[in-house]
Amino acid sequence: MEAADFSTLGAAGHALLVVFDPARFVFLVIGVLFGLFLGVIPGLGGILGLSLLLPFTFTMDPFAAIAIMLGLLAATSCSDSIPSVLIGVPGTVGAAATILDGHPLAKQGKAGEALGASFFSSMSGGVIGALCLAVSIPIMRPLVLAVGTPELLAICVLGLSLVAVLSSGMLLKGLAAAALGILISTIGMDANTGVMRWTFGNLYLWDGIEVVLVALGLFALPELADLFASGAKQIAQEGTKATRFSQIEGAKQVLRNKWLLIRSSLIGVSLSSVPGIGAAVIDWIAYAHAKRTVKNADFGNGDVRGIIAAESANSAKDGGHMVPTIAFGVPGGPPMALILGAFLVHNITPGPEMLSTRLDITYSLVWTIALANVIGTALCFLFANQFAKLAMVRVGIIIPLILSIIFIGAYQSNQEWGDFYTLAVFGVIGWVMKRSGWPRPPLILGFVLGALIENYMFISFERYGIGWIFRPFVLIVITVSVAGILWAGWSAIKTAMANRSERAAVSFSMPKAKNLFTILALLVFVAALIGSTSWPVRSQLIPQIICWTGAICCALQLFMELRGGAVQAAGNGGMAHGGETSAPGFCRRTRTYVMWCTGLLAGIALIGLLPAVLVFQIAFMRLVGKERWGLILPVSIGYAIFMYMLFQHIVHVHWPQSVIGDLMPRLRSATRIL
Amino acid sequence: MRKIAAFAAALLVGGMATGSAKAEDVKEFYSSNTLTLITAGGAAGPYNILARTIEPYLKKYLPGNPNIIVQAMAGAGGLTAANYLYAKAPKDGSVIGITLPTLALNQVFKVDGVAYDVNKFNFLLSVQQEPIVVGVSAKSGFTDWKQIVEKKAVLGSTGLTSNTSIVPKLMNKFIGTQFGVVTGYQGAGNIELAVERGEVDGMAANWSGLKSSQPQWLKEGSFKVLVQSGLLPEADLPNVPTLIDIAPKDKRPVFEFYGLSNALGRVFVAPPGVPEERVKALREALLAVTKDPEFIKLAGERDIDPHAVEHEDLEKLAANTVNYDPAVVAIVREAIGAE
Repeated sequence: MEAADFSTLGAAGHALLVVFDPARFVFLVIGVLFGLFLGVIPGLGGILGLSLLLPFTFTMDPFAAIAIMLGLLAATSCSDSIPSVLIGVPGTVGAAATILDGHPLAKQGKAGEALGASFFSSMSGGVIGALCLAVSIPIMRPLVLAVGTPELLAICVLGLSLVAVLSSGMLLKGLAAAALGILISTIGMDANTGVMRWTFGNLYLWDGIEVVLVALGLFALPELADLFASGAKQIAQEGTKATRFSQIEGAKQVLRNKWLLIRSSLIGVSLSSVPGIGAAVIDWIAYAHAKRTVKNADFGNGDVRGIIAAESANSAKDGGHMVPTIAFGVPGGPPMALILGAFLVHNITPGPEMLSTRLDITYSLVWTIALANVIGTALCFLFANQFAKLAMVRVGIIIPLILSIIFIGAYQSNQEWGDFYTLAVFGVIGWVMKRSGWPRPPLILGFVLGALIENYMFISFERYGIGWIFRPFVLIVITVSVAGILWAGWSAIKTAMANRSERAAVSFSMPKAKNLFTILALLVFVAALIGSTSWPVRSQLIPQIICWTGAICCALQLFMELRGGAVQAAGNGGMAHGGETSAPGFCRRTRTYVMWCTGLLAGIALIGLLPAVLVFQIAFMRLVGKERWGLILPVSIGYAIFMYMLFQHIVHVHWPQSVIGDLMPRLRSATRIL
Repeated sequence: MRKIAAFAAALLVGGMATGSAKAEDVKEFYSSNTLTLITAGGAAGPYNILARTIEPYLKKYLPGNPNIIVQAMAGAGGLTAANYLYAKAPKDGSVIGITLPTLALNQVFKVDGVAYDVNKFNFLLSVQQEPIVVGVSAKSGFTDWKQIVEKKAVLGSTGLTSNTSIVPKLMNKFIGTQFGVVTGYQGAGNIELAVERGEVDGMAANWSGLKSSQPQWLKEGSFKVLVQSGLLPEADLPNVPTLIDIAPKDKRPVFEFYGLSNALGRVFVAPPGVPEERVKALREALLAVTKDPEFIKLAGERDIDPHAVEHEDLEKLAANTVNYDPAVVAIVREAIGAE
């Protein structure tokens, strides 16, 4: 690199010139375009994109490499709200909270407003994130060093305590769901003791469950199931548009809520600078914050403020993730491991060097994040009207297309058969939860934060004994968290008491289908409680505490449900309730949906992923959608060719091995997809 | 065109044929087949970067100059990749892989999930031995391992089954040091951060990883390496004793076994049953890569030690590890607390 003036402003200006150098700027734009594409497709996201790009960046100059990689990463969080709003399926794990209010708006025909608000929040969040990153450069190392493990633990506990807010007035269910999430996070090898927890002798489970599979299963599959079962012809009513005008209306709403935007962005930046806290929870935490602080809100039914909070925090995270990455080479989030890989290849060493002699590199990161957000958003604004047409594609076409990409996307997690099973299991869990009025966000929160809390807690005790609790920051944050939970509990009891006095006779009923999940969860907790007793204390401590908590919550919940007229069964819509169960043929169509999914899985096992997807789409469009051959064949074959080119020739997927491939090894080696 | 012909032939022959490669020329095979290079660990991991760095040179030196695809196969501490290479991968030479140094150790320890016999792999070559060093920060006040026999030093660790914990535990048990090991840090980077903020006194670390991630520690002397775990001292650590040097005489086999078990390095293997002449071609090509001046320069920039260990030595290392005195193996296993 040319010798530069390494005063802060000099370096920032130099970096801007470098980024705008046409030879590099073009890479930034390519990265953004690719990122937008990956963000829109459920299951694909920044990590896949970065692992794809990494080898190509080996021969680029470091600034171009950074431009294309970070451009891609930042752009995914601009476009991932599009499927969330229009279809109710998250584009990436970070866009799940956007569904809550974005999708209802789309169903009401206000997709344009929802998209406008989400794009504008996303851009502002991204720029605020970049700004925070720039401002923090001089104090970054002392800042990160000042935060010890006990403080990290306290932050995670605070995040987890927001389960109370995300439970939609169903505290017991929320706590039990969070406990379930934590329990699921303990699956795999416990690195601390070497004990295999709940792996059942299965190598796939050694490394635990991927969060992408949890999110896709919980949120995407049930949404498609209900869309299918509702018998609707299309997602939104005819005439849904995302005109410039309606999008600008959405953007204006963001400006009217600028303080919420700034608060949520700051939440996004600060949480994401804690290693381990990533996209999957940041949007939920910001959403919970909005829910707690915004007055006269109607969250869950199309309140634009829900979108603002979730989207701005989700975009601001990239800036925050960079902090530990740059300052210490500790990846702030999963995609950052790939960015670190690029640094290594280009001989850039994170640490003091990047904050002194290589400030030009660091500022080019800042500029790239900011510019990618602006360019990405502008493109989203321009093309939103085209995307909005997605919501009017007939259900018989859109379901097989989305379902296929979810399966293909899920398979990218580990490229093993276990990915399909995991997706299916969480699909069922998500669907049952949705149907029986259980809030799903607490499960994700528990899943992500539970694992961190377990590790941080043991480190804190081992290193500081009991004394860590009395560190001032820890004391304050933990007190706030506990108070939040107690307050929610107290409110729930008060409501229950009030309703009770209105009811004269108390009668118990027999368990029904709606109690199914409560009973199942209770059984899981009891079984896990018994199953974990043989492990060393350190491995069983957290699972045991969690199982007791979960079991007690479930038992209480079941008691209230069976006593009749359970107060907690109420609760608002949003993530808890799915809506139109009353539609005629709902159950029958749900069964049909399950059979189609099972059929797709069987097809994958028999003839391989890509051929099965092709057959599935043709059959579904023909038999369910009653579409014309003239439409079916071009769409499905075009789709298959596109997937083949992308995954076979660019991603180089290791396809799942099928029965037909086992029987005909020559065919397998000739086609390489069986 | 060739692809279509192959496809048609495959349809005709169906499942009947199993490839007999004897008659085929190696060059012809690799000019008409893609070579897949499987790497244990994730897409940004050091194994993947090693593979990507080697890839263009391997293409250059392998007869037929095949297209090479690098596929990351993370999972189960390298076992997923090793098991795949052993049993499921095609045995025609179109798939090879880079596996972890623990390939043989996992088998000796009878780790659940090991579905291979390390001696049956076709070893090709290995680069980058991965000795572990134990060191402390300057501000911890320790300067010599002997001080830690008297006074406790706290080390950060990712977990019981990792080298960050195994080495200090073996030292405590057989050399008499008093390392306290705090486990639970997520990855070496987080331990380094804990060392820097003074949460722990030091760490056991992969030497090549540490040199790459914290060069300024070593330059400024803010981190002092106390011992190293290899069978022989590293070239850039001539004055740091090895574990074998400092162990009481009767305990040396323990550390010899440990050093041996890690000495495979990042090892390139082909599945068992690959035709001999293709294995030979792969070995020669890989060896030529490690001698290419351009590759050596690039490897240096990417913190890869290009020094190669050839297959005869690897076979001996693996066999010696697997056949090591069971009594010593049992002692080590017990000390580590492996399941």
